[in-house]
Amino acid sequence: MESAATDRRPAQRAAALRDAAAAAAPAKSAAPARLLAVAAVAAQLLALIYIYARLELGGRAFLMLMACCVAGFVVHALLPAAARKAAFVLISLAGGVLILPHVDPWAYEGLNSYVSSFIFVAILLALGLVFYGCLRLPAPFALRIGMVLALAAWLAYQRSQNALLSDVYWRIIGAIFMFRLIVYAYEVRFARKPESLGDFLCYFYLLPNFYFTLFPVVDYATFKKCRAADDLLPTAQRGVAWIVRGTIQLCIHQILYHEIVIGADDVRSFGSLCRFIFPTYLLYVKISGQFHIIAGMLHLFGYRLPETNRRYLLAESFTDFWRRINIYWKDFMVKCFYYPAYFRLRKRNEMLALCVATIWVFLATTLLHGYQTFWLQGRFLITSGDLIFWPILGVLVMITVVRQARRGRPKPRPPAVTWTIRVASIVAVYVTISVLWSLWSAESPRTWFETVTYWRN
Amino acid sequence: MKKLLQFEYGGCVIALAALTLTVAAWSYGAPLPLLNRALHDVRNDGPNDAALGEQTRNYYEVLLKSGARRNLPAEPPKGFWRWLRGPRNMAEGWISLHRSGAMRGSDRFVVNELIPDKETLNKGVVIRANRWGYRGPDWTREKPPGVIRIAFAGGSNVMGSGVAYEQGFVHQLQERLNRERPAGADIRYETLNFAIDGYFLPHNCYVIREEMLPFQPDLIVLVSTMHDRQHPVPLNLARMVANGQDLYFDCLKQLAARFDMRPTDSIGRLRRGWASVVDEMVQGLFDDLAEFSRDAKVPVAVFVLRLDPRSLHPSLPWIAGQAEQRGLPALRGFDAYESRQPHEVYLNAADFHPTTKAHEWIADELFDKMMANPIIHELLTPQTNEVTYGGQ
Repeated sequence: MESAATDRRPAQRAAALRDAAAAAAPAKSAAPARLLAVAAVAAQLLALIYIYARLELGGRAFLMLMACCVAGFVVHALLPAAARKAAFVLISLAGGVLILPHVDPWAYEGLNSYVSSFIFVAILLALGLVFYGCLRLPAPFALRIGMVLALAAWLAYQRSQNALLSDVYWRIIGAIFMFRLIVYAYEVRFARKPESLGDFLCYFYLLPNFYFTLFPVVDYATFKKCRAADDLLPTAQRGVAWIVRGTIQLCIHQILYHEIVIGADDVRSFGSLCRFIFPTYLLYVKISGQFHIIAGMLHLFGYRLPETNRRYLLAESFTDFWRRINIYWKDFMVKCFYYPAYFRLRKRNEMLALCVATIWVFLATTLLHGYQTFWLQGRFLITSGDLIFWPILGVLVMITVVRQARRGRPKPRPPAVTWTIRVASIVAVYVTISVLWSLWSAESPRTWFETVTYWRN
Repeated sequence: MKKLLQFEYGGCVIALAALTLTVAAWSYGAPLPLLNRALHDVRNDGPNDAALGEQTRNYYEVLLKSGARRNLPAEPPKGFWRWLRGPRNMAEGWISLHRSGAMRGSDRFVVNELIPDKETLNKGVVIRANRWGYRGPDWTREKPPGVIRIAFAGGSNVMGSGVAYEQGFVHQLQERLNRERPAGADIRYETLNFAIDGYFLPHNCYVIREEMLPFQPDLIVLVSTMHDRQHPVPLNLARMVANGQDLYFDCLKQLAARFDMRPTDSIGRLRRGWASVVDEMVQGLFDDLAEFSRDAKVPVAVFVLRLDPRSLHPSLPWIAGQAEQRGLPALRGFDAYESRQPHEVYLNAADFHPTTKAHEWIADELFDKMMANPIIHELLTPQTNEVTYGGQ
């Protein structure tokens, strides 16, 4: 540990020494200040539960998730640091058993519902262990990935037949494994040493995933690195902040949804056309709000994850938009698709590599959105809206990337001019994305065209 | 100080405290005029008007929606997997009534009808159409002596989609009336269910005009839901125009003429046209019902049924008000679902038809509302079986 610490830069050396000290020393969980800090965070979480209960945000399943977060946070925070990883896995799995009966109250009532969810969580755990075992085998990577693919194909077949399990359980399986297994396999491919079972279990069995099936693609390497050893409580407080941020966004979404958004049939004037187009994109605030809540909940257990969305409404260019909205998806695409294509083609031509890699990313995004729909909805679906939205966005991003690569350093300008250009850029990007988003959300391109040319009808 | 106010530190605590106090104040009835509506919207987990017609479902809304209705097993699982799935997640034959072979096309205004004397399995229950092409026992045209007949018109909720006929609220009302005998031991009650899956207000008005009178009903009850004022109706009417069908009602023909609707127009244009006049359509059809009631001397009541436990859609009081303005007794079925959870009232995560328990609650509420309405109470508890009807 000491030799590892001395090799790094001073700030990282200090952090490493702190981590080592925290791991070695017994947690001072009995200290009054610490207890007070835990109680303060728990009190804030209880206030959030009160708000969710009164505003009926999310329903009983979400309340159960929050209750598990509060109880789990307190237990987790008071445990010694060495026990926290195992505790996180147990809390997540136990939380799943408690949450699932409320996610699917139609399956059973009473004790049977918990027995059923317990059995399903056991199946889920067994499935994960099989995947882990396949990837851990002392065999060539191609053979290991072949086994994983064979099992995934069998699962996909069962899902397509809606066999064995209910729709809710299939959604959970898809939500947990559909992307994170790709990321994990990628890490295993290039890892210098085998990944531990503990890290595997922590990474896949995330408590919020038992409620949120639409889940950010948490990166495995980032997930391991961001685990806070000694600053658990500041991390938890940050998590609370993100949950509050997400909650406010969910409230904003509900107001937009019920008061502002109108359907295509209600477009009869330019004003109603604007009301049809511009707020539709704003409804994404629900997804970004949910993602903030998810990341915030993981913060409670010491995972100081990066932001999932960063002020995407203030994007100044299409590449800026791509970098700000669903950052985890962007990172997943960059790691697994962009870099492999870019570095392979770079030797031939830098600009060609940029363009091809960018197009490849958006093609993969289109296909993977259909893949996601398959696991969450039971059908592989790529609509005409998808086939228009993603390619156009891809071309816009590619053009921006090429322009920025060629432009070099921007010329100095007066602040007022810079500010004006920034505002104009933000408005232009917002208008363009809104138009594309409304097209993506429309029943069909034809319906969208008839709507925007309302005066002809 | 600056750091303390940053959102990730003190800022979020302040925001959380403000949110908590606001919600607490609102919960205890503090007057918050600007926020009342906003907080009501936040609590309303139901679809907005655009989503009811499935006009605006972006990619993420589709993902978050349950796929349970579509994702039924190709073959019913057995043994352990059947148990794990749960009884309400795997009813055999969970497909539309059309696909189950129970329905056929029709030349009439209603476009589709049940095949008479046919029995099919749908959503795990038997749907048996009588010889007249409606769900239920074989009624006689001639009303037996000492019987008060109540005829119901409606859609799938009234027909009893997903429940046995005896468990539907129409039959349950009959059972309760015959159990409690409000008119005395000599009077029996019979309910005739003319409801068909997929029928909305225009279809139901047609059935009332064209089908019910031969069966000598003493009271006609039209069951109306919020869908009668939402996008399924414009779409249905748009399809009728596109197929060159006769619109039957003068009010519909006048509305179609106003927008110069033609069969060659796109469905989108036709639907938008009907959507812009859906309120006038409801008013016109209620005017027609009131006229029919006067001419036929049979009272027609409108039972406005709430189907969403999460919120009372504003269309429902509006529909009830429109009925009353035209002299049609309006029975407001708003309470049966109050304080209920979705899993108590819906068949499953993606099928919003009532459960057997929900049908019981609806039947009880309908009974109470009927007994509380002086016109209907007098009708159902006659001394001589003479009737008076609304508006006269």
